[in-house]
Amino acid sequence: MRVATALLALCLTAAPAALGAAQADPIGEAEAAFEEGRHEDAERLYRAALESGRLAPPGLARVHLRLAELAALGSTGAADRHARFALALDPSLALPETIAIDARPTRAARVVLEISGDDAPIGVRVADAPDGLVRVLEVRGAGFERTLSWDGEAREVDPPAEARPIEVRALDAHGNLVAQAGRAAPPPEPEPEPGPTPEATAGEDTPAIESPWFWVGVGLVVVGVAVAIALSATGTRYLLDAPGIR
Amino acid sequence: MRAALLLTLLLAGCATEETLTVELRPPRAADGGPALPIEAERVEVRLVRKELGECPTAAEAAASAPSGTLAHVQSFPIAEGMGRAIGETPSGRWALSALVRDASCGVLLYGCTLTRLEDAGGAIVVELEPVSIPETCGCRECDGAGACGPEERVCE
Repeated sequence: MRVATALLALCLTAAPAALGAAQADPIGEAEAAFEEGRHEDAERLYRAALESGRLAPPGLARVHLRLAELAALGSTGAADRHARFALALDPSLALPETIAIDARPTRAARVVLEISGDDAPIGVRVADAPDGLVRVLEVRGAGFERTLSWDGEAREVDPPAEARPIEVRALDAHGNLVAQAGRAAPPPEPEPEPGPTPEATAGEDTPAIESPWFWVGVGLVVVGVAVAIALSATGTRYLLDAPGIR
Repeated sequence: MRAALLLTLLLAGCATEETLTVELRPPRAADGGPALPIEAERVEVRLVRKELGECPTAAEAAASAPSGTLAHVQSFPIAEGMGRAIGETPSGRWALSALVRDASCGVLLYGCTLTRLEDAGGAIVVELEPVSIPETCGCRECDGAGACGPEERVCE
C-alpha cells in the first residue's frame, strides 16, 4: 500500500511538473533551431507553435517576426504580412534590415469595449490590427459565452445584467490570443461546508485505515461505481461507421 | 468486492451494440454511379444533437452556425471516398449533414438527414443535392484545399 501511495504521489507531482516545463516555452526549440541556422527546422517548429493556438503576446509577436525573417530569405510577400502582424502585436520590435515596412504602427492591436449603460448593448471592436490578424472574438461573462467572427466591422453583444462584467479575447485564425479587454467576474465561491468537529473525528491515535467504518465506506463506493458502470452499459449502444460516398 | 464485480458483469451483459453505416449519396450519373462536380475537393460531415427542430440549412451548416449541440465533425478528401468512424453515439434524435466543398470552401452539394438512432434501421443515408454557396467557413478559415479549420469551432 505504501508503495502504491508513493507511486501515485510521484505521478501526481512529477507529471504536471514535466508538462508545465514542456508548455512553459512552446517556441524554445524553434528559437534554438533558428540560432543554429537550421532554417527549415525552425520554420516548421515556428509554424507548429503558431498552429497550436496556445500563444499570446509577446511570444506570438516573436513567432511572426521569426517567420517574417525566414520568409525574407525566400519570398517577400509572406515576410511583409508576418512583419505587419509582429509589429501590430509589439510595435517596439526591432525589424532586421532584410524587412522593410512602409508605415510602422505606433500602438499595439487592442480590443476596445464601448459600454454606455448597465443594460445597454456593448460595442466590441479591435483597433490597430492589420487585416487578417484577428479572426474571432470570444466574449465571456458569468454564465455567458459568445464567439463572434471578426471582419473589421464593430460588433455588439448584449449580455444580461447578471452576466456582466464581460471579458473579450481577440484570437487569430489558430486560436492564439492577440489582445483582450474587460474582465469576467469570478464565479461565486461556494459556501464552505461545516467540517466535522474535532470531537467527531477519529481519535488521533487510531489511523482511519484501521477503522471498520473506513472499509464499509470503501465497499459502498466500489459497489456504487460498479452499479453505475453497469447501468450505463445496458441498453443499445450505437456505433456510427465511417461516412462514405456511395 | 466479488459481488460488485459479478453485478457489473451481469448488468453489462444486457447491453447490445448496433453499428449504423453512414451513406452519403450524391446525384446519380447516367450509369447509376455517383456524379460529383469536378471541382469537389472535400466532404465535411457534421453530427448535431437535435431533440427538437429541423436540419440546419446549407448556409448555416457551411458557416458552422449554432444549431443544436455539435457532437462530431470531420472532413475528408473526395478522392479517399470515406472518412473516419464517427464512433459510439448516444441514442436520440440527431441531424447528420454533409457538405461537399471546392478548394476555396464554396459549397457544391449539401444534404442533411434527421434521424432517431433507435429507428435508423442499420443505416443513415444523406442525400446530397446541388447548391451554390460561395466560400463560407464562418469564423473558421479555409485552408485552400476545401477544409475549414478549426473544424469543431461553432460560430456566432
